[in-house]
Amino acid sequence: MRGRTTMCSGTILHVNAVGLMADLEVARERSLARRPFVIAREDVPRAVIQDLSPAAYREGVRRGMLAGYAQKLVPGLVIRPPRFELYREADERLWALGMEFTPLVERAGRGHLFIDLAGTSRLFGAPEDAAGRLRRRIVEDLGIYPSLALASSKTVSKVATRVFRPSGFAVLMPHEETRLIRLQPVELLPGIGPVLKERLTLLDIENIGELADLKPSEAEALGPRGTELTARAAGLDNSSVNSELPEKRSIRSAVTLEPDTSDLEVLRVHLRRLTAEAGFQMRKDNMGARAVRLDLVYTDGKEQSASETLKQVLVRDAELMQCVWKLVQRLACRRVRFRRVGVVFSRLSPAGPELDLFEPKESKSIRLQGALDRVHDKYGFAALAPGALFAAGIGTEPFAAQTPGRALGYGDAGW
Amino acid sequence: MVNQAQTADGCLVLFGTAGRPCPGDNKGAPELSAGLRIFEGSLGEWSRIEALDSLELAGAGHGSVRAGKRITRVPETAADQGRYRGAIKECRRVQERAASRGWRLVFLLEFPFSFSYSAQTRRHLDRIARDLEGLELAAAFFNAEWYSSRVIDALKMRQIAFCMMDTPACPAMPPRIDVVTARSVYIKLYGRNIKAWESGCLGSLFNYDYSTAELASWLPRIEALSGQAEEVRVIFANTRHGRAEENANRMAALWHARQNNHV
Repeated sequence: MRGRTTMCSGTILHVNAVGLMADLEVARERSLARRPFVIAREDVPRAVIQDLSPAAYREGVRRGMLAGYAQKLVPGLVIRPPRFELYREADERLWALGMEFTPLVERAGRGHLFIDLAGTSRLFGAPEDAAGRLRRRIVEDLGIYPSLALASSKTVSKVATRVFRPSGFAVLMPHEETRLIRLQPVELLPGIGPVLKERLTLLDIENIGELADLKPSEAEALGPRGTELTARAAGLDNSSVNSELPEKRSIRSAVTLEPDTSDLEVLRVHLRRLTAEAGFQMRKDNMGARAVRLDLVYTDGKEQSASETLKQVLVRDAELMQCVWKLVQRLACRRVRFRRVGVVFSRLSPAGPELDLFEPKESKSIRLQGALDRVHDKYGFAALAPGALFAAGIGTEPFAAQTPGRALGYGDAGW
Repeated sequence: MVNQAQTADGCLVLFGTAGRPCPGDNKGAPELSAGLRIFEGSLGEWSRIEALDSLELAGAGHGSVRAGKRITRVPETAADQGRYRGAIKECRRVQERAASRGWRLVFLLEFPFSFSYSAQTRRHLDRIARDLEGLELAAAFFNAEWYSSRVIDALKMRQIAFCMMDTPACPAMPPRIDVVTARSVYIKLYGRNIKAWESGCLGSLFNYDYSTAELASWLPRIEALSGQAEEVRVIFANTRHGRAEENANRMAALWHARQNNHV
């Protein structure tokens, strides 16, 4: 190509299918394209909106809102029940399409992929041509139009897809990257959540460029990840595309409470269940967690997260629950009911036996945990549950039905 | 051969040219295909209007006009303000005339590099959007500072098309992006004469002949954009030596061939 041959774009492609559920519904029912509609269960009294169309968003409807409230807000709002199997298959197909170009494909949540196109030019041409071809394949196969951005790092490509969402396409040359991300609102930078955003607003930092210009001492004042964030804001990100399966990277479990509750004891019971289930999955792969995260969604739609990174690897339910409960105590200071709660175990490491000259003092609990896991493995998770669950009136089967999208390795389902 | 086509999704794709001074001034350029000539009869009439720089010709009943400097520069003096108001009135008159003839016009606001992102320019852009409310607008920004999510969101809210530009890959040029912000998509190809753009040589700025490979590289992008819009206008501005017309015809032919292959 003439003219453009002097400069090359980066090779990290981010595919961001924001609103994947709604897009897939539109692809299957074209008449929905310009109508406000949401995806929510209709068979539960306080159904929460899982996804929505751009037309509904323009009308003020948001994810996490109660479907009944949204219907009052937008008369004639169409509600479609979620089809999780369809979304899961589409997510798999999206990943498979990326894999046709290179094995370096990272799953970063539902509808999100990072693809490293380095070294594929002999097969598919310049990265921008390969990205264009992938975009076309996605449209043909799935009927959706995700945002795609090509840059030299994961951070920049992710910011770019957020800028040109929902269906944009951006090819950034290295000299364009910093200039582009500096001008964007700071909340578009990965890693900046509502809490940090509020703190940055107080400091009068609105753009990513202003965050990048902070001195190291000022960056440290932002929190433990301040220095890392300022580096990212400057477009410095050396992280490589991790093609390992997400279930190997993190294990998550979440539940929508029916009804919403502010009772910490009820919350504790649910968390015990979530911890036990995610912990069981983790131990099946003989892994333990070095990081634990708690996600809370309140009745008013506000979301809060807290995480803890540990030096030792947590394996057993009791120690995982202890850490989770510590996070609850750190977070739960609002006098608002909880609607949804979730736990994420990440930084997974092999959970080998502790080598000790003497028998470790917690050997009894280790044996108990092993026995429980064997029962769960043989007869299913519903076969054996802590008595507290039954005492609280939370059976095991209904619990599983409440969390249809919670399939492990299913990315950011709602988080 | 026609220069417009409807996709399976019902999107109208139009190929046209920009800035021809008058119909007779072909300078040996190849003849335009039938669809590209629709505005020629009234070209003189349009060119007398001071508010507009040039016509962008794009098929039967569909055209666009490039708003002049009186609109796209921030008025600084009282006289500038008067000229600005006059230009806005003229735009409205042009729109009325086009509507009475059943033509669908898009007003292209082409902001130069000097139109940087500042509080003053943002206010001016907002003022233009308000003053020209009801007219179909497209905005082309040569300054990359406007490529931000705030601007994209604001354009979506006001239903102003973000004009995608094909320019040489100079460091000063904005990045290559595709984004749909309104029901129409506006694409403008200025040519990729990198030497002229870097040196600022106005004479040869638009002296560029797109190769078939370069034109073909746009087709998948147009295809993806057409799936999200009602209308896509592809305008060639490389007007020297009649190349815009030839390139527009060639691209239309490539597009039709691609569409037929898909069918």
